[in-house]
Amino acid sequence: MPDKVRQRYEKIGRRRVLALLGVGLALLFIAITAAILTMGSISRDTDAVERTLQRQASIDSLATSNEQISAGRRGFLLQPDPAFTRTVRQASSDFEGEQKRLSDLLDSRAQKDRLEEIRNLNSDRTVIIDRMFADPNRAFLDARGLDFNVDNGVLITQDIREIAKEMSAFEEAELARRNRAQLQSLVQFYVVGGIAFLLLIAVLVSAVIVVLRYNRDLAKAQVSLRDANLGLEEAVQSRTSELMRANEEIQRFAYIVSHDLRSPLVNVLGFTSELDEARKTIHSHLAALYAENPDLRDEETWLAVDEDLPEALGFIRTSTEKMDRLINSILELSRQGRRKLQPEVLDMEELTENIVASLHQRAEDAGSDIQVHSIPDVESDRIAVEQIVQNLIENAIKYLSPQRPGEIRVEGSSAVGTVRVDVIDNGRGIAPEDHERIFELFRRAGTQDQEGEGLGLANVRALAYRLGGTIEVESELDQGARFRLSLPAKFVAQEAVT
Amino acid sequence: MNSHQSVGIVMIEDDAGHARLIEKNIRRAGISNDIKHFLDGTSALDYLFNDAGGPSHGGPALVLLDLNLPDMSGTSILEKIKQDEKLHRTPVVVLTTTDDKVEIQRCYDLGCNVYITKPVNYESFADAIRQLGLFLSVIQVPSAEEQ
Repeated sequence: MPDKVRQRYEKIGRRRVLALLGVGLALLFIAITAAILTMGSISRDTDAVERTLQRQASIDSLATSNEQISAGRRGFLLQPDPAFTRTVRQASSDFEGEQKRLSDLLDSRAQKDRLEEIRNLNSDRTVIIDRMFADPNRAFLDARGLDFNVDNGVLITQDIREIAKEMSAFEEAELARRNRAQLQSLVQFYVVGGIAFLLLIAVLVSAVIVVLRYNRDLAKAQVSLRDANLGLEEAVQSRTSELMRANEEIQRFAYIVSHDLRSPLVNVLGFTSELDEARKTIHSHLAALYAENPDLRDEETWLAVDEDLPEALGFIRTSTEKMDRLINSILELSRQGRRKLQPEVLDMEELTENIVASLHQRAEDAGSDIQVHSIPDVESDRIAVEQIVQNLIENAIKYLSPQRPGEIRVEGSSAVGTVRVDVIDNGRGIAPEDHERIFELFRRAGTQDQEGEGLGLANVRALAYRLGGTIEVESELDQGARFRLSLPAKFVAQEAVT
Repeated sequence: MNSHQSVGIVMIEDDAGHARLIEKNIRRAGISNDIKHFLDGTSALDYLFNDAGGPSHGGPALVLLDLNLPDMSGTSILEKIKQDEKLHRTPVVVLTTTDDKVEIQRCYDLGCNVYITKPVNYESFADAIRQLGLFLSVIQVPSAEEQ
């Protein structure tokens, strides 16, 4: 699986898990908030219920005191006993105390109004009772003809009773309301909490599923990756050995072909010489004959022997010789391809200096100057590296520009595991469209004023490849050229499995 | 030495053209020794080892050997000659198109006396053959029979 895809895949998985965890956190927060709010509302309701109960008790005891006052008064009127006086006084005091307490407990406007009414009524009654106690006899007499149904005191007591009942009913309603609210709060709490809890579980479960699925996919991907890698290695190995075999086959083929091609060439050239020998015989015979008998001279025959035949034979010879050189080149290449490489540590500067020294005369004749700069050491095959460097420097000397003195630099540098050798000249350069062509066998580029079979760079490239390296050219026409040889710092032999 | 015990040249060469060229040049170099030409290794070996007038039964000889033969490798012929008790002193001139150093080395290791690369350049080939002529006149003195 390519890295990009895997990264994206990981990102998606990570994002999904993060989103799920975020949702879970939000749900947890909601649940806790709901619980806190519900708790607050429940405790508020509980407080309110408690206060309502207190108020109800207070109202009840107020009503009791009311009845006691009423009963005491009635008793006193029937029989003016000081005990009744005490009872009434005690009840009145209780009533007022309770009235005061209730006033503190109440917080509803309506209830407060009612209590105010009760207070007023009680004040009126107190006036009546005080009058009664102040003049018990008169009160007693008045009471004889008194209709209790219209008596002020009785009416006040009844009114207070009614109002107290109203208040009690009100508080009861309040209690019921509070209880209901409390229940509602609880239900709300359970519903919200329950939903949040269920959602939380759902989120956790899906997060776990996502993680598990992600892990499973990852494991699967790893397995397939490993399989692919194994397959790839095998494929590479078999391809490599196939290529090696094919390469060896080509080398063998080139060797045999070039070798066997030389045989007929020997004949062609040999018998061309024989022909020439025969021609010479005829030529001298004719020359002698014509000298003796000028009348026999036939111009056409003479021309054939003297010009046409040597010309034809000359062409045959030069072509055959060229063919022989080409075949020899192929033979040489294939021989090099078959040579076993022997890697050793090479002092590249020394190696290059030696080559430059051996080319000193040629460089001087061409009017060029060669400089060697620092080149890192390489572990490779000496002969192959020498051939490459020599070829590149020779080319630099060979293809100088006639317009300027030659300057050739050989420079080295190293990159990761690779050593580069640059051969830089200020010569005639190579047109970009010929950059590939110059490395092909028997192909050349530019002005053909120098000897050569188009073999050198082909050989250089073949050698560079064999050493596990590359050869590149950077050049413009008439702008000099830079040939860059890149070699592995340490050559590892790769032989075909046969 | 015996005058009619002249060295016979045994030429083992499958290419008729090469054989003709070699013969022409030998003759041109002024060498008149008898030349026996074989086109393949089997008949050449048969002559060398079994023929009544062949080298193993008396006649001093020089072998001109091509390495590329249709039925066997020239080096195996060389090996057989050099391992044979009677024939191992017979000079063998390997004449072939190969100039592979390894191949040349191998021929010398097997006991070849001279190795001549068949050059396509005809002049130098002719020179080489003439040199061979000198060589032949030299080896005419110690007869193979004298041992």
